[in-house]
Amino acid sequence: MDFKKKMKINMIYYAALVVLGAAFIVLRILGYMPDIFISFGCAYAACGLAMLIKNGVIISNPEKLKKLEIESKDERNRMIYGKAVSLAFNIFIYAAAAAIMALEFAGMSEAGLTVALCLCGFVLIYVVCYYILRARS
Amino acid sequence: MGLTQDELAGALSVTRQTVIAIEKGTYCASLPLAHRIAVFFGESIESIFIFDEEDQ
Repeated sequence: MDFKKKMKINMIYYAALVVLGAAFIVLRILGYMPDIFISFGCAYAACGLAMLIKNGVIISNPEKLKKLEIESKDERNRMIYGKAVSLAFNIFIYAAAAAIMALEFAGMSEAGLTVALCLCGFVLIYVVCYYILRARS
Repeated sequence: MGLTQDELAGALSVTRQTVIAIEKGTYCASLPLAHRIAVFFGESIESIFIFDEEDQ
């Protein structure tokens, strides 16, 4: 797909994110949602708006658009991105395991169990992704 | 040839950092990129890239 077209489609998603964020804020103010949704709303709206402005500026500047296209399609950048995600996941697994033990020692078994269940979920997602990617390649 | 890294990177649609990494030998180009480089210089892949088994 043409990179410019892809960026325009992304702008629709970011606009939807801004609308969703604004909806969360309004619904919280009207009292239909718990307090946490005002944080979600602000985060969604701010991120969506920032990305909308960024994409708008890049699309209007062909030189910047070409530079971003090369950077996003560059094979070394993609390899670094993949390695960084993989490393972050590995560190997360060890950090979560340490957190489970720490919470258990601190007498917060329920919190430890929650973290352990999240960790199991992540590992399960990893296994599913691994087999899907292995079957495709 | 009088070609800058920036110009080569532009012609290959990669970043200048990738060209530098390939030159320094810190990054191994993929087969499609190696092919693009070979086509750009009008040479074969083997004449541009030297495969060293010990480096692998």
